[in-house]
Amino acid sequence: MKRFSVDVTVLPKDGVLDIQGKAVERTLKRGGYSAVDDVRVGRFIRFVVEAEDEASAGTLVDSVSDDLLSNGLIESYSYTLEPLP
Amino acid sequence: MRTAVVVFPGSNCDRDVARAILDCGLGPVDMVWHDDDDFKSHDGPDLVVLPGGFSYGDYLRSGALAAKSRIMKAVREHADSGGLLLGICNGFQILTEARLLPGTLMPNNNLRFICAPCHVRVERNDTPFTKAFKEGQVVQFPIAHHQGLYFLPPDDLSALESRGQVVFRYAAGGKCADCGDAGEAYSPNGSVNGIAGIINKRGNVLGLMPHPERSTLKNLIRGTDGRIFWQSLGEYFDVWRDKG
Repeated sequence: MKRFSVDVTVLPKDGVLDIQGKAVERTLKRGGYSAVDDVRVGRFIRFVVEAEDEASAGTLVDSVSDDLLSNGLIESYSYTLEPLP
Repeated sequence: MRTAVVVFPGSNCDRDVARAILDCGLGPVDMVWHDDDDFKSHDGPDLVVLPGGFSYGDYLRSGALAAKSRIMKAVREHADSGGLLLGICNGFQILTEARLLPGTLMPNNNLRFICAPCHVRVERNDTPFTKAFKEGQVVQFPIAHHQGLYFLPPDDLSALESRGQVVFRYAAGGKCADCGDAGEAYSPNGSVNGIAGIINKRGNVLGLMPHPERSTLKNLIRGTDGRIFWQSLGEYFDVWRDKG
């Protein structure tokens, strides 16, 4: 079995109201960062999985992300896998 | 009428619900720990309540972790077999996360925790939870939540509305409490279509953000409209003996 470090990023889907993102964006703009736009606030989750190979690790991460880490109605997720020594 | 109130780590309206039900003479009430496998009573409860609070500190998403609790298997079986299941506030959030009800509850659109009396219009009185209300009756229940913005994508929302699954809708209060106006304009939290509570297709699982149990006891806070909610259940099970 191999071990992988997994980084999952969960973000509000495009078109879904993200009031946290809007509030952060307003505050930044008010603070003079006029070049900042389209702020989205999500979640970042890091964990380690054991799997035969990268493909089966990916399947497991998809399952975990669909089942609990994200709510598919309003959020989408992406992830990266890093083999651990 | 036998009720099971599920207690999650972080529930804080569990005893309020039990007290409201007992005060209405609708006992017994069993308190059931979230990590239990089953309900305590051998016959099984007539009503299961997922109470308000902040289960698991609202970690990840409100209700997400509680929806995976051990007891939820028994809760799901209870609902699948037609038993009545009620989720109030955090309980409503848990029901959506468990996909026992459609949609989701997002942070309030003003980003504030709102603790206030609010008015809701009863859209249906042909459910076990609302049969003692008049159809279209506007009542006052308190709300206390940070994530109460009910959201469902537009197509699903139309389907929900056309099936008549919206049971409570935020309504005008104050001088206009008797006008019966309700809808998104009166959402304190930005809920689509002013939705405050919905029922499943089968009609046995109800979730709502307002707290009827907090407006049940007399001489506590203003209003006892919540009594009509429990009266509905009492009449449904033919055990309502309260004459006021």
